[in-house]
Amino acid sequence: MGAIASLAAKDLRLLARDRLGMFFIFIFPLLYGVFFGAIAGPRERPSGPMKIAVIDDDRSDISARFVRNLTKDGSVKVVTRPREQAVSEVRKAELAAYLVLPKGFGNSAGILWAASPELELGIDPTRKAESGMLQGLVLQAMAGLIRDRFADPAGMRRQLAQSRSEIASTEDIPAAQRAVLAGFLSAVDLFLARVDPKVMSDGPSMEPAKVKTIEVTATPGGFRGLLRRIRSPYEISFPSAIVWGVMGCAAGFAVSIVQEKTIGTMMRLKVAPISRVHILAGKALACAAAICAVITLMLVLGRLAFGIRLDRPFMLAAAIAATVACYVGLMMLLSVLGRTEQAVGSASWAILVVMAMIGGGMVPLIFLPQFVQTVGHVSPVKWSILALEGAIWRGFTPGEMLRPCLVLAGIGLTAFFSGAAILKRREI
Amino acid sequence: MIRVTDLRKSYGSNQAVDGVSLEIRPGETFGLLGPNGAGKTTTIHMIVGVLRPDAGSVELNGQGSPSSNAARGRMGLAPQALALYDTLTAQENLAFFGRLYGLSGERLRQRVQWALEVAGLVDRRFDRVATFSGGMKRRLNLVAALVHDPAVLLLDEPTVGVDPQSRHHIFERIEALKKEGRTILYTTHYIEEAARLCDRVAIMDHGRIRALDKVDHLIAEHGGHAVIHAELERPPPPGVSLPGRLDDLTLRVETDRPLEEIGRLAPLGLAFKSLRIDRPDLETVFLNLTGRSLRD
Repeated sequence: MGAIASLAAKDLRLLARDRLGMFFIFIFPLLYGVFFGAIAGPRERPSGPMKIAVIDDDRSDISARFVRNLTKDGSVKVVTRPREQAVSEVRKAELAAYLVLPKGFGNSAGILWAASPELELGIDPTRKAESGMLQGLVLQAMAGLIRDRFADPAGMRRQLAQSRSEIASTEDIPAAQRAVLAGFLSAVDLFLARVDPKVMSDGPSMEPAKVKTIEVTATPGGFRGLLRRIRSPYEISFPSAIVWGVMGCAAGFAVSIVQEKTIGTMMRLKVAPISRVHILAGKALACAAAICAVITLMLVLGRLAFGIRLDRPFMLAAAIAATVACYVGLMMLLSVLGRTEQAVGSASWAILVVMAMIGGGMVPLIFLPQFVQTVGHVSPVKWSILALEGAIWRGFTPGEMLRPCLVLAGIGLTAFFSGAAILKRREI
Repeated sequence: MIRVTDLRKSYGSNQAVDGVSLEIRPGETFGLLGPNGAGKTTTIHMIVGVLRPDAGSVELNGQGSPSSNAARGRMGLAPQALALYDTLTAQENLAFFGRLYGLSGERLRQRVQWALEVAGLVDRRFDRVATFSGGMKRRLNLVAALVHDPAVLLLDEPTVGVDPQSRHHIFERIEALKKEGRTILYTTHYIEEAARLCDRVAIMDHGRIRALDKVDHLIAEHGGHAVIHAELERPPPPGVSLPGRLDDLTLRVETDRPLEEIGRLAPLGLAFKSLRIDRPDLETVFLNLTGRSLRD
């Protein structure tokens, strides 16, 4: 055990004196976590309203009401622009979209039996998610107009009279159908003549449904299924950042094994009265210690500076242990990818970066195509992030935590023994 | 004692070591002399057990395989490469290697101090190896093999690439170790090192031992005659019979007793411009045995 500890202590000392290595293992992940936490993910305060331009060619009371409805809940901020300027600003990503309210909008908008006005919604193609949300808000504002119409019975009855007159005079509708429509409109007219406008304005919203969006996480230590907002965007960015640091450790120690050979110190280790198991165990212990140090540092900084929750220590310990096992094993396998430091270093990073790409280490998995998400199952990065997130904010139960941990441990053990066997065959 | 019997190792079609047998006696300094690629390092690696021979056996101190921890603990290897950690200090390197051999506490501290003194690096003990000169690194490389006080020392080309001052320092230390009674296996391609340091020398080439004996015996056996080169100021007097061969004014005489031969030339009335005796040495031995020079 003393020899293993000596070997590990020596490797950690070498690591501590390697400034570039220290940067990529400790500093880079921190910068990554802070940067992506700052620019992405959910926030305590809602993000600013979507800024769009409305080109109101109708300039009617109804079009003004539509704009009021659209901006009512604060999700959308409307600015007025000439059409050309609006198009230009959307193209330059200064506006999320522009919306044209055509002439005659006020004549038909909010009237159930009239032809729907055709609205032109110009969107920035890179902001499709926002445009989808905007379409929903536009329809919601249109539904608000229906209620507004019914809240103004006199105005509505004028529209009705005009519609009845148009239906009576049109030749396109068969006489029998004209009679049915005339009957319907007369019934509505009768309803409007008798209804109290206040009842209508306080009454049903005419919206097909009210959709309330919430972000779903479980309350740590509480009842499963309870919903709660993520406290900090860093709770999402830090697990990915931690995995980058962990990958740095694995790549660094993989190179250090081949480095022992190239500088000749492996010869001294091999002639010393210690076994190959000691040598490999020393490397593994040093790598494990470095990984633990990276994770601990990141979590402590995340807790102190960015409000990351660390209130499930046992789950966190399980996630860390599984991650350590996985990447120590990978380190061993990576070390046999080449016979020179350059070969092992390049190959290690090439593999790890691909794993990060398909495992959600660069872009969260949810934003990746379905086939990439499927392929991502083979990436230890995905399982590491999942285990850490499960302990930090997903609120995994022990049973749920078992799956990523077992996958990580399985990958680690397989990789470790494969690498060790190859090293043994090469007489280290 | 180290007993090597019919050791063989090949890499593909290259027979690196081809039936090497030798015996190194306790307290002896044994030299393996040969050019680069002769198989010296491969032999050493098989002796210390880091390389598995294709055939043959190695026995150390009657303890059997060199792979056993007991055998390894009694050996120290100074590899040909500078096997040191550049970003560790001299003291950290020595302490690390000492710990691998089970040293700790006061004993470790004493041995590290001793090794630093032997290497002449006490003043630089806290400096990183990366800042050392080639000679300093070579000295540290040597004492890193000594820090655990081994009875058997295997030095693989310990003076390669060092300045004359460091080489002299290393020679002195090895001679001191020799006086302490350590068994030393020393590989080199420098004739003067083998001649100065080694009790017996095995001449190795193409994986085989061509000859093995004390230096004097090797020279006597395989070195041939000494050669007297004399340059005369003028032609010898008429009627004088000279030994050897006279080419113009240069006389070349091969003899086993050069001084006696010169004594015989003196009364012949010759006027010498210069006189030189080339005695056979290990270089001549190697040349005679292999047909080529060590420096080829």
